[in-house]
Order: sequence, then C-alpha cells, then structure tokens
Amino acid sequence: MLEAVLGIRGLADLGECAKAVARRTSAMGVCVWELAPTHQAHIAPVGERKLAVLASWFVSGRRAWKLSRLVEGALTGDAILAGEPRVAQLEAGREPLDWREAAMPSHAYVVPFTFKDDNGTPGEPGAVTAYFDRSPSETDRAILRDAATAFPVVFAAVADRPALLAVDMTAERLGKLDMGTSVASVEDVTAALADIAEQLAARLRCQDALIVLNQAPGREAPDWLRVSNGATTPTPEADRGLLEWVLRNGSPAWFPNLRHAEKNEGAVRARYLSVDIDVRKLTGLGAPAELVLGARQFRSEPVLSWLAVPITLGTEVLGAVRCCLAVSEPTHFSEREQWTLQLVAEVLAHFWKGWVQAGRLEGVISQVLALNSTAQVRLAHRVGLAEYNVAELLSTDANLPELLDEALQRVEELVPRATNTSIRALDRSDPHGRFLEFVCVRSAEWRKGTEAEIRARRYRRFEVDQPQATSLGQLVVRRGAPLRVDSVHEPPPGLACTPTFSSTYAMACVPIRLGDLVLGVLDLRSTNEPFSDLDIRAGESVAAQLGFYFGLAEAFLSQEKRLAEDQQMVEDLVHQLASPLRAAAGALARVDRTLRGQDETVAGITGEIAEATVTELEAASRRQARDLRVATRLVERAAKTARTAKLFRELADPRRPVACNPIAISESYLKTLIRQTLDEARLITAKDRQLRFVPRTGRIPPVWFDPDQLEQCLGQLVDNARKYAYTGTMVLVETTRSGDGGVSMTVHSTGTPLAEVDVAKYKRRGWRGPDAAFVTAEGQGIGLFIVDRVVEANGGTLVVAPAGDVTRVTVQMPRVP
Amino acid sequence: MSDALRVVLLEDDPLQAEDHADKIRQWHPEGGFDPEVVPTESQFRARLERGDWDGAGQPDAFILDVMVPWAAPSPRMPPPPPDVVDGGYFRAGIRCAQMVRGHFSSEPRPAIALLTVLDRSGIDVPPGTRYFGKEGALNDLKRWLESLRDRSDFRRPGL
Repeated sequence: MLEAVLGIRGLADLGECAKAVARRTSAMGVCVWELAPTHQAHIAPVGERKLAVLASWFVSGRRAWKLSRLVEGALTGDAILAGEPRVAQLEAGREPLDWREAAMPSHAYVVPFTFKDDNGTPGEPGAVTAYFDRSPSETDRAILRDAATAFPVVFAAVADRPALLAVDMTAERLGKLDMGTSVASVEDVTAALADIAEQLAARLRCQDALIVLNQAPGREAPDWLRVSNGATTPTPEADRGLLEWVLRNGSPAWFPNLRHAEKNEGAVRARYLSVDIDVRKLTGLGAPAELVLGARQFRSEPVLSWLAVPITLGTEVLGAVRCCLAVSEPTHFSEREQWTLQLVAEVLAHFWKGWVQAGRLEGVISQVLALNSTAQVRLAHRVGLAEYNVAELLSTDANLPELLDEALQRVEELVPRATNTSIRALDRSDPHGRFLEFVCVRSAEWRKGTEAEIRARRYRRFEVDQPQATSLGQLVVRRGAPLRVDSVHEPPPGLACTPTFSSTYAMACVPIRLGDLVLGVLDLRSTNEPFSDLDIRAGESVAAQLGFYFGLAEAFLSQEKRLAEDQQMVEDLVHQLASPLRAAAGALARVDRTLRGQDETVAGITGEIAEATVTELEAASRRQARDLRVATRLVERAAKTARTAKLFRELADPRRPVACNPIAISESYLKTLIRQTLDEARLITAKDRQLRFVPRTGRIPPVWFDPDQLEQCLGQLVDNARKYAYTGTMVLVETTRSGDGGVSMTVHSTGTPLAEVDVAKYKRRGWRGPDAAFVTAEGQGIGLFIVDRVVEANGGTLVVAPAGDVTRVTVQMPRVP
Repeated sequence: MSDALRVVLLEDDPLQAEDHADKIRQWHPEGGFDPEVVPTESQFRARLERGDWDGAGQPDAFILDVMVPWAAPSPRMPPPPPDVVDGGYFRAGIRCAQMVRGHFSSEPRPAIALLTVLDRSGIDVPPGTRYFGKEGALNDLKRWLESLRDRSDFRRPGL
C-alpha cells in the first residue's frame, strides 16, 4: 500500500505522508513514530481540526524512551513488543500529544512496524498511531495496516535527507517550467533534465545518471529525449539492451555487475526493432521511434553496477531513469537509493504527462481552428481507444457511450473471467464521495437482441442505491487503490457486498484516477472464480487510460476557454486602441481641412479685412485649437493603452522575468508624477460625473523604482479608480513614509465595490469584478495583474483593501538601497 | 417648438460624445441639429420606456455607439436585465437599436444609425439601421443627417 503514502508528488516530509493516510480514514489524526533515538518523530495533525500542534522535532534519547513507554503503556500495552496492531481505549491525562484545540479522542489504533536500514537489517521499532472518537472501523484498520508497511521505506528515504533532496530538487526544477500559459520548450525541458541528472549523480554518488524519455509529438527534437549528467557512460550496446529491457517490462532493473549482466542478458539485448510496437504505443507518435544513444564509451572501471527505474504512467512506460556505479567490487544499490530513484521517476512521470498533454493540446487546438472545428482528430490517440470528433466531444457527450463501451470491451478482452463490468462516476461535488450514477454497464446477461437494444442496455444512466454506493467502490475511492473480493459469500469483515447480479461470485474494483484525484471506479465481477493479480493490472491499465482521457478532455476545455478569453481580450484592446486613434485622426483631418480653407481665405484678402471674416477666422481658430486638444488627449489615451498592451504581452509569460531598471526616485519627482496623472484623469473624465482628483503628499524619502513602470502603475491605479468611482466622489492619491524606510502610495476611491472574497483574484489575468463590465466598456482585467507583477519585480508589494464601497490600493515601494 | 432635427447620441466616451455633439451642432449653426447625449444603456432604456421620446418629444434620429456600458458606477446601479447579463456591453448599441425599432411602430419612425469603430463585418447591423464607421465617416453622417432634415416626413407630429 505504498501508493497511499507516495501518492503525494514532491514529497516533503513524513507529516505529509501521515496526512495523506489520515485523509483516507475517519481518524481525527495520524501520528507516525520512529522510536530510534536518533531519528525524527513526526506528528501530523489533520488540517482543519487542528488536533496536534507539534510538527516535528529531534527526539532525544530520553524523550524517545519516554514516548516509547507512553505508546507501549498508555496506548497499546504490549502492541509494539508483540508486533501486532492494537486498539487502545484512551484515558484522559495519559495521552502524550497536545490536544489543546480539539476534543479528546477516545480510541487509538496502533500498528507497529520495523525500520530497516539500508542493508535490510531490522532496526528500531516504530508505529503508526491513529486517533478516533470511536472504535476504528475495519476499513480504517486495513488502511492503517497497509500504510504501516510503507512507512519504514519512507523513513529510510527521509532518514537520509540528501537523498530526499534529490526528489525535492527534481520537483522544484520541473515546477519552474511553466505549463500553464505556454508550453515549455524542448530546450527548457532538456536543461531541466540535465540539472536533474547532475543532481541525481551527485546525490547517489553515481558515476553516471541518465534520463531517457519519449518525446512529445509535434516538436522539432529527437524522438527520444536523452539527458545525462555528462559523465562517463557505459557501452551503447549494453545500455541499449538493458534500457530496452526496462522499457519493455516496465519494472526496475538492477544489476550489481553490468558485465555479468551483459553476458547473461544477451537475449534481452535484442534488436531495437523487436520492441518497436511497444514503443510506438508508448510514444503515440504513430511511427517507430528510434532510441538515440550517445557515442561516449565506457572506459575503465572493472565493475559497473547498474540500476534503471521506468518512468511510468499507469502501465505505460514513458522512459527510464538509469544510474551507474563504477566500483571495485560488485555492489547493490541501497534501498534508499532505489527509492530515491523511484520517487524521482514518479515526479518525472507527473511532469511528462503534463508536458505531453500540453504539447498535444497545442496540436489539437491548431487543427481544430484550422479546419473550423470539423476536424476529425485523434484526440484519444495516446489512449488508443477511438477517434473522436472534437467539436462534438466538447459540446455533447455523444461520444461518451462509445468511449466507455470500448473501454469495457477492452476489459473483457483482457480479463475474460469478468462477465459483468461497469464504470461508475464519482459525484465530485458530494463531500461524502458517493457515486452519482452508473455510466456504463456491460453484462453477458444483456447481450441478447439487436445491436441497438444491446447498446441501450449497456449505456445507462440511473441513480445508484446507497448500499451499493457505500460498499466496495467507495472503499476503493477512499483508498485510491484497487481492491478485490474473492468471494462475495465471504466478504471481508466490515465490507457490505451487495452485487448487482445475483450470479456474482467475485468482485474487483479499480479506481479511475487522474493523478491523486479519483474520478470513479471500474467494477469487474465474475460469476465463478476469483480475479488474479494480472486481472487487476489489466483493469488498472484501462482505468488509467480512462483517467488520462478525462484529464485530456478537461485540459482541452480549459485551454479552449483560455483561447477564447485571450481572443476577447485582444478584441477589447483593439477597440480601446482603435477608438481614440480613429477619432483623433478624424479631428486632425478636420484641422487640416480648415487650415487649408483659412489659407485660401487669407490668400483672397486684398484690402481691408471685413469684421465678419475676422470673426469667422477666430471661430475657426478656436475650433482648431479644440480639435487639436481633443486629438492630443485621444492619442495620449491610445498610447497609454498601447503601453499597457505591450507590458501585458511581456508579463503574460511567467517564465520571463520582468525587466526593470530601478533608480532613486525623489520626492519632488513622485509628487509631480502624481499631479500629472491626476490631471490627465481629470481631463478624460466626463464633467457630469463630478469626480475630484486630489493628491495628498507629505514628506517622504526617495524610493527605488523603475520610473516608467511607476508611471504605468500609478496611471493604472488612478484609471481604475476613475472608471469605477461613484459620481461626486473623490479619488485621493496619498503618499506616506512606511515603517521599513520605503514609501506607501495609496489610491483611495469610493465606487463599485470589490468584495473582500474577491481580493485574492485581482492578481489573475483577465479577472474582472462581477459588476465591472456593467459600468465601463473599458478594461480587460489586466490592470492589477500588471501592477502586481511590476511592483513585485521592483521589490515592492501591492495591497488591495476593500471596505464596502471604499477601496484602498497601496503600492509599497522599497527604500533606496 | 424648434424645428431642429432632434438627434439622440448614445456614446459613453465623454471626449467623443462632446466632440460629436459639437460637430453635429456646427454642421447646422443656425440650430438645425439638436443633439442630446445619453451615456449608458440603462439611461437609454429608461428614457425610452418612460416615454420621454414619445409624441412631441420623438427624436428624428438615433446615433448609437455599439460598445456602451450598462450604467454609470453608482451605489444604486439598476440591476442589469438578463439580456444584458448574457450579451454584455459588446452589443449594447445593437440592443438599443432593436428596442427603438420595436418602440416606434408607427410612422413617422425615427432613423437609426450605428456609429462605431467596429468593422461592419464584425457586427450584425439590424434591419433598417445605417452603419457608419467612426473613421472618416463623419462626413457621411453629416450628409445622412442633412438628408433626414430635408425630408418633410421627419418633422415631428404637430409641426
């Protein structure tokens, strides 16, 4: 049941593991104890209940002894000594934890485990202790027992912080590659992987670390991405054969002596073409992929230990991480090193899934756009289930029955003893995690009649009664791992089995997952024999594909929404630019025409100028002056919009740092800037709104900020205030000295309120308040996004503080260093 | 009552509204054109529904910007109706044009025009509505208004 613990990617510490376990049970809290005096003890509270406040600390020998006595005596008696799980009735005052903020638990369930060192030698005992306000259920006990088998391994990883750092570093390095607004480039990914290989080699004291990954489609790069730390690599032939073996089998390979392995694994080193079909499946390229190996030769070491871990997604093998140790004696990789490598592979798989998905989506979207949404694209190519019309898929669930039916058909092919299969969707809005409905049922009993009748029977939507919803499937959802019942006549204690079909003998249930999220379950039922481990694996394979498919569809929808939003934003910007520019052009054209008319009038004057002519010329001159004034303001506004658009374009890519050139800005400069900004706002505000623009600037020290960006920020904040201010109110810009020696510049306004709950959203690009679009035709919801990023880049902070109709937006500017 | 051609301008941008109104006045300095600016869709609807523009107060022409906000910021902002919530401000002028067309069902009907920076291909111009792009179209608009003034059937009832 390692999966329960290792479901968390980017594992930070044991507390997170304990939390993950706690979430799967009804426990009030879960603690994990490792009683060796030199190891850490972790106490993990369950988030909302704030049960225990102690996070982690080094346990002194004396305290460890005390804790162990407490655990043994007060809670479990001789549970640990006997090596058996034990329920203990708790008594007030004899509990070692701090339960200050919660009700006292009444029961504890303690599952002992034994820590093993790197060589597998049993060491000090430990325990998983879960606290309940009632006697723990059988399900809770089973989950905790499973978890207890995992924790020793995790302890082994945690105990050696440098090894765990490799995992953290991997997650952090990959996390910096932005997958949201734009797809990371091959170069970025390669650089990140090279760093990871370097770190791996250093952390595991390896001669060589190699990451081989199949390539995302539609990119100009080798079919396989192969990155090493640049150190010596073994012979290409050996590497190729063994890597092939790992890729084909999807399980870790471990050879203490590579030369020995070379000799005995000759059959494994088959020609690459022999795994052609598998690789084609894996890559989704639709064509054979070539494994590109480096030309460097392994040089001189007498013995080479070799460890490779596949990077898997469900049962798909996406690539492998391989490490080599050059040593004088044959050696094994330690348990800790293996786990480190496996954890890194997990993180890589998670990342790879996102990258491939993002790359594929780019292609799908461009195809759809190019062919006006009628394109038949192979959306589920990687899933290998069927071809779908994307437009239909996204607008209706017309293809869903076929998709689900195909999935079930595959289950039948892979698991012939599954006579009844079904897919149940989880109601994700239901806090109790109940199933919403059966979405697809396929049964041997229903295969009679016409094709249409069969299909109608197969695909049904109906409510599931509660006993079914709370039985096997729900348990599987909570565990996030497959479960099987060998005979429904003798179900495990605490599990109510109410099979759909009376002929059911055995049941197996597999979660349909997307990462850690369980979307539903795949149910397999047999009439006369139990399911094997292989059957469960087959079910997992199909469920993984379904999960991936649903994830792909969700990602596609969100990308499409984003595209539409971007398109709308561009249209708005075009309007805001075009409107004043065109009006300004018209005004200037009129000025030009009247000037020419005046020239002709003046040229025609030969004698005394008539009074009427003078009056006419004066009137024309006034009109020209006015036209020029209007044109100037309109052009200024357009220029401001253009600057905003340009800055937005630069900031929209979060991978790019915001370029800024801060200088010392004096008090007088800032005051002038504020006055000018308010004057401009006053000029472009309708008079009947009667807004007052007021500066309030006291004595302030110079600040450190990019002057252009400061102008942009202030202009944006004042413009926001102007747009949303109520008639007859005041827009006040105030500067004060802040506690840290910098300056706070606050724009106060009274207008369309910003709800406090929405304050956190202003940083999102494209977000506008619910009433914003009703009171102004200007704005795309990018103003505060820009200001926030610019202020941050200049070392300051932006604080938005609404209070009813009054909104205060403060820019904290840093002092001059 | 003046026999000036009464023009209602739906325009939210104060600079452009003032500019257009001035221009329209100047096209006929003797008081031939009488423009009135309405800055928001809610005000436009309210005046139409209240009957401010019925009978003797009926305008001769409506010149409508397309992208106009629903209301000015106010603590008493009228709640936007469902069609505004659904359609947003992007098509406010078109909604107003359709309302005018439906409101004045008998002759003489006011003339309606859209004055917008949007390309004609980007909007659905309602039937019976003229389209003027803001770029260089003011002369066309002037000619259009003058042609309306020259037509006797645009005199308001009673004149």
